[in-house]
Amino acid sequence: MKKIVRRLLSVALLTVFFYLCLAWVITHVSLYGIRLSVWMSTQFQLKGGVEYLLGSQRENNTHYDVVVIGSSHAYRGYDPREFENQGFSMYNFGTHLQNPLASYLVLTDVVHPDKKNLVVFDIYDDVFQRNGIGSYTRLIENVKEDSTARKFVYADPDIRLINSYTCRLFSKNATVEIARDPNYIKNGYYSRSDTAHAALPNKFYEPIFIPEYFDYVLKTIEYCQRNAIPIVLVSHPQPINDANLRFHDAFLKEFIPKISGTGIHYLDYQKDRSFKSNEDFMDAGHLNQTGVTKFNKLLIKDLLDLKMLEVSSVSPSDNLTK
Amino acid sequence: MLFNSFEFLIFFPVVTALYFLLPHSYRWALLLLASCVFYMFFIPSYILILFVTIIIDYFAGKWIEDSTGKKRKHFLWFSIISTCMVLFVFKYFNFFISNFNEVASLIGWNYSINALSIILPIGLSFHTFQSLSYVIEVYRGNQKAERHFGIYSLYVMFYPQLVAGPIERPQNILHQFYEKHTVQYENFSRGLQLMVWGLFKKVVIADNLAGIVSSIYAQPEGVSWYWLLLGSYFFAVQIYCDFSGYSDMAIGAARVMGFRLMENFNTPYFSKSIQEFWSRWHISLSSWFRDYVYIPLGGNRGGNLAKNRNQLIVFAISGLWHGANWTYVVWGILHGFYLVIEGLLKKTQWYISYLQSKKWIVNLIGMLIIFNLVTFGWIFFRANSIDDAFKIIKGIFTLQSGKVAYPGELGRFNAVGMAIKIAIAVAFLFVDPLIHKITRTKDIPYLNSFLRMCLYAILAATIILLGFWGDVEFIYFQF
Repeated sequence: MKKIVRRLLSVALLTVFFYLCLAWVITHVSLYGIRLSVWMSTQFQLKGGVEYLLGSQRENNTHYDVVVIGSSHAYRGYDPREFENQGFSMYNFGTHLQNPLASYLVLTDVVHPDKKNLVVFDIYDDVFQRNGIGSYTRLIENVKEDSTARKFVYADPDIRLINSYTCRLFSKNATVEIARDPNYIKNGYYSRSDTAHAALPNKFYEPIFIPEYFDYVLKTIEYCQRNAIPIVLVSHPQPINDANLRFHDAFLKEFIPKISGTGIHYLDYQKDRSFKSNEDFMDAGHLNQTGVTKFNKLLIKDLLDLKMLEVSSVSPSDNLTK
Repeated sequence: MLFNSFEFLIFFPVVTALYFLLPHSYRWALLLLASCVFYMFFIPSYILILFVTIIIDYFAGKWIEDSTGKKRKHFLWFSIISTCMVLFVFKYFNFFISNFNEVASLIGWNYSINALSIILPIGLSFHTFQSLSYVIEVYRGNQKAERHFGIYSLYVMFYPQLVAGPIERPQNILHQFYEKHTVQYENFSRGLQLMVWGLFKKVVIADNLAGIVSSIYAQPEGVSWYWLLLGSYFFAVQIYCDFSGYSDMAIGAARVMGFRLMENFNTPYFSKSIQEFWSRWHISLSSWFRDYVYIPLGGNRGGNLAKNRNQLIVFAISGLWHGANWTYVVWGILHGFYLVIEGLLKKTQWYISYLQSKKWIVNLIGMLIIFNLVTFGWIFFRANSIDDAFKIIKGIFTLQSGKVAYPGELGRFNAVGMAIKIAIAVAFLFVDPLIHKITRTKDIPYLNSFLRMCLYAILAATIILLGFWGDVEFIYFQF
């Protein structure tokens, strides 16, 4: 028995040693400017992209009237230029499949404390049923602080997140591996002008929402209320079809009772029939520039009506990051 | 519960520790309870189906042994029919109905039967065949009927091999449940080595290739011929690593507790003939069909025609065993034809010389030919439909050019990424025989215990760091 325990411990120690060696090798050997880790496994993410932009924001002390958090619906759906036209500065902190847990951590750890005048929390129902690993690994790779990256590992302990964090530690000085996206406009916003012409999927799947994500919406609201930061929940328009409507109804059935006691406004544009799938969307769920312009005008008007936004006394051009 | 899950990481050491801590007389109960828990992680209520087959075959075994004359045969057939009926209802009924409805509509008969809305119980074909081997062996007098209901239940439900084999024979495993196993270094060491190697094959090789294969096979008309070819070769590696990986983990998990399960794979892609391939691939199933179907059908007796017919029947049934889809049946029949042709070639002197040849170049060419023939068969096995399988074959042979540069998940990779995947897959095929030998041989002169520990530590580190940790079930679970 002693021999078994001794050998098991030896193998465990050797495993840790070889794990670190292997992590060092795959993060230090690059082929065509991309680390071997990324070539070898889909769990490792490229350095760069929308998460990298976000990662460098905490050091930027610029004040914004509005910050947006949420998934790709956020970074493709809220145009800072539209807010500027109305006299408000805005930065978009949306990232790929950013679920409420990630949104909470982005808001509390990545967004600079002085930046939070109004938080627009984009609520996309589909992310409430998506595993967040892909999103977290991208953020772990790209956020500025190790402490923030560690929070993503603690938030959802998973071997892939531990691996991502290990590789992050070994490749802090890695160069950006994603070429600048031609669709990037400014302040975290990406735009597409093409239109979804193909038939959009219309098949309904019974959703299985992750209860923890609803809790993180509440935690985000509590955080804002505790720090006297106004927050508004927004669901942006979706193509109108039977599957989307049923899915959203199933979501609202769970979501509305959760937030009803918070006193927070929830602006739901998802069933707005003025948005046409063959004009205002680039694909099955994201608005194109035409749709974004239309939606943002509507949103800003509603925020002004609700007095969530008030005409700024400061010129936006004084604040904006170019 | 999956072997490559966090739950199993807790379950396995706890069950193993309790097994050795408990007095011998309670161990069967612990293993049975653990097996129930293991199975109920999938769909808990389906354990009742398992109990139905256990009860039928337990009593059938007793009745066969206790009776004489024709009654024994009646009890045997009662057992076979009722056990197969469970398999038919859950696995083949909907397949049968959809074919029936299609034929009915072809002949203008305006009548259709509704399909059942049921999910196939996991590993049903495996434990059904294990149950059947018990009653057949009792009938043949090779095995005494098991009187202890708990031990018999454990024979069917023993968790390491419950959902994907190896399909054990009662003579090999039943007596082991009565043996008193003690903690032995050799068993621990061999068992854990097998588990690590099996897990490596599953999560590092098979699961990392699975996404690429799925992307390619999802759109056989949209991708270029080289993707189709690559997807087919990758699937050959994927299915081998997936299934043999599971078998290694099953054999290893049992070995840690002192149980010896039969070998299921023996580096099959290094075979020089199709017959040799089937003696090294899914050995427990091949030998099951040989003993309980092929030989009772007449086997090699009755001339070449009868032998060929028997081979084709056995492989068609074997195909159907794998799944209720014509793709599996065609795959099985194709292998049947391979064997028939090989049987004809064996009558020629040059083929006999080839089989006996010791020249490495001859062996290498032979292995490459067999590997390619088997890979060709996998196209039918993996394709979503017969139609898709023919599209893939046509696409490869007509050098189809596709519109999609990097289909599906491949979008992330360019030529460099794919070259790395190909290199890993090829390297694995050559490393596999070496590790296969190391995990099964006690003394290898050039591998002292420290180097052996390093080897398994490297494998473990690679599993943790480069394993695919998403949700990918074992391919053979569906059978």
